[in-house]
Amino acid sequence: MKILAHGHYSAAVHDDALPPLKDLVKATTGDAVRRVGRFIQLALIGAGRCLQQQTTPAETAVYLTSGRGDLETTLAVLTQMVEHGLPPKPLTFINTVSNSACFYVAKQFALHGRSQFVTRRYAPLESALQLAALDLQTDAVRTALVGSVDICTAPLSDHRQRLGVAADTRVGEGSHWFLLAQNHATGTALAQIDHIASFIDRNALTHWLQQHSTTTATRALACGQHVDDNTAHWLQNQIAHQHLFTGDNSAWYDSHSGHTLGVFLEQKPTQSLLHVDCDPDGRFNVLQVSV
Amino acid sequence: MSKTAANSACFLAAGIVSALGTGVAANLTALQRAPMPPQLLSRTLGNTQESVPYQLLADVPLTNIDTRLTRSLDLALQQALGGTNLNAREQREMALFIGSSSFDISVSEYRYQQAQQAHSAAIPLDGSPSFGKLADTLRQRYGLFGPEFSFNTACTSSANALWYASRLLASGAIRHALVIGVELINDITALGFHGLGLLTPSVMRPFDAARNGLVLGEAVSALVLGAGAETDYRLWGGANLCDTHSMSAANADGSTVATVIRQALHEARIAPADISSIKVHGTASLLNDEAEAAGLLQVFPKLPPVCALKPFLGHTLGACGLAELILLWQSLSASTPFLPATPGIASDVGELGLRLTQTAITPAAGACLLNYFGFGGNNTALVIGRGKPQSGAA
Repeated sequence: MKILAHGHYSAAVHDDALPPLKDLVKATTGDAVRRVGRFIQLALIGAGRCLQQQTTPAETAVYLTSGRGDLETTLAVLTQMVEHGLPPKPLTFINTVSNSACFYVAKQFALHGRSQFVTRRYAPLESALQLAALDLQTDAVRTALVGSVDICTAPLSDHRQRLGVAADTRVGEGSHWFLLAQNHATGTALAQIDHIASFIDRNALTHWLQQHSTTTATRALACGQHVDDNTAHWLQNQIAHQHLFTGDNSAWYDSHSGHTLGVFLEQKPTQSLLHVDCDPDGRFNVLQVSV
Repeated sequence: MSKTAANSACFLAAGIVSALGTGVAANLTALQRAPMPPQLLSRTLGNTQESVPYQLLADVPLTNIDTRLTRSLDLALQQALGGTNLNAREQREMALFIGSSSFDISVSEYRYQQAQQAHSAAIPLDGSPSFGKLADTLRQRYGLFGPEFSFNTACTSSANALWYASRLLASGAIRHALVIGVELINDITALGFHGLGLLTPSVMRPFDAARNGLVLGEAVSALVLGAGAETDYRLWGGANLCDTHSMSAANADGSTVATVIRQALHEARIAPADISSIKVHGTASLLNDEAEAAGLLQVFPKLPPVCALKPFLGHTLGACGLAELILLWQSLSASTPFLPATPGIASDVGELGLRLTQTAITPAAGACLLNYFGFGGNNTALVIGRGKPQSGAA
């Protein structure tokens, strides 16, 4: 499938004073979208940057993913109930549902195709891309807007605890969006997603890598943030002639593969990128993009 | 029976735990009785007690909340997985699809409340909250190593999970799928709906002139999909669309509801005349029932028998997609097939132009349409049928 456009927001968050997003939302969408929190704001910023120079068909499907969703709203509702004994406010309650962000994106950009919020613990973006790929390959949709959004909440010490990362880990926020079309679609593409696949273990990945080996030094390897040093070393040994692509030293958030993919599309250091991530059970998720 | 690629996404075995009981048989028995009124639960909010009507799981007491989710899931999963003859490799490679609007929030909430009582500086959601955590936990518990997908699209969550599971199976990307719908009581949901003023303390009366709101319900269900026999039930098609008319209600003119139904029929390659029964979403709210009725009447000049399951189960939110489908499939597959009836509810074609089944009838052969609508404008319609899609009119 073709990548027609991408847009993203990514920022490390250094202290408990989270950067305001309201002006960015207005600058990106042209509207002051009211009564929404950071999660929906970031969704609108990322999607707006992706679609700003595109004529997007109204039937475009929206696929949103996130590791933790709208933590800010869920925490607000929970603490309000438990600590202050107050019921959830109606709109705040409705916005705890993740696909509220899909609604805002669809409404803002006049889209009325299908809309899904889907995730996977160690590979959120990959899960959304797999559904989009299925829909595009089966002609169920012609264009797909796929986005990943993860926010920070203050205090950052609590946020790190929720993420399960070390106290000195640099954490951040990201909103990464990709407008996709079928392979045979007309128009200029930024890149093409060649493969998006999951593997149950190293043997299955090894078999796939052997089938999809490249003999030229044109493919970069990017290791996801769950890949430890040993696995990274093993991966480099499996793939001949690869460059190691790290994007930049972005901060930690669940759907970080969106950041890596976005930086690759901007820099295009090689003809293709193989992004590999894994989970603690030794399963792998692979995403290959070529430009 | 022969097994072919075209039969790759059959409904193989199911498990269900609901307000009607534990197991398919208990649920079917209860479906042939009149719906029971909900329990009125007292939920503490600060210094006050709020009364919230709920259809709780019949056989899983509201105790030991930190393990109740796992225990309920185990009941449903053991029924579903025990009903198949998958070998170890097939189970290991099976993909997992889970749909919920709350996932494990009931547990997180409980632990926070406990910690708050013991230690006022407790951190809410400190157990690595993640939408994918529940699926990951279940995957490890049952030795599943295929890809997993967690859907969070409000009341359409498990319907969407089933739809994509079926389509991935048909594409050949996976060979077996375990689909789960889960929704257990939690204060965010209970008090959130209470605050919206959408609840009724009596049995839900969808499409009835006297409808006055919904009752929340709990359900945990599981369905295994895979290669089956020619005559097995399966998903014939489905559709999902985002209705941007309103965050919390479908467009009352029925246009968006009609569109998603037409697209589901198109994917199933059948015509409206091929639908022999309809399971409505039927939340018994003024606007949503109006929108659903208007949409149905635009697609079906003459409505086939229409049934509603929420009077029995309550509105099980993200779990309703799968729980209601399993009950309908099993009702239609019973030795004497029947469409569940809700006597006295929407017994006349009122101002909405729609009447619910009043006695348990055996529907004509054909497909069944199932509607689901959720917050955020998420509208899904599914079509199920026995064997391969057959259209007399498409």
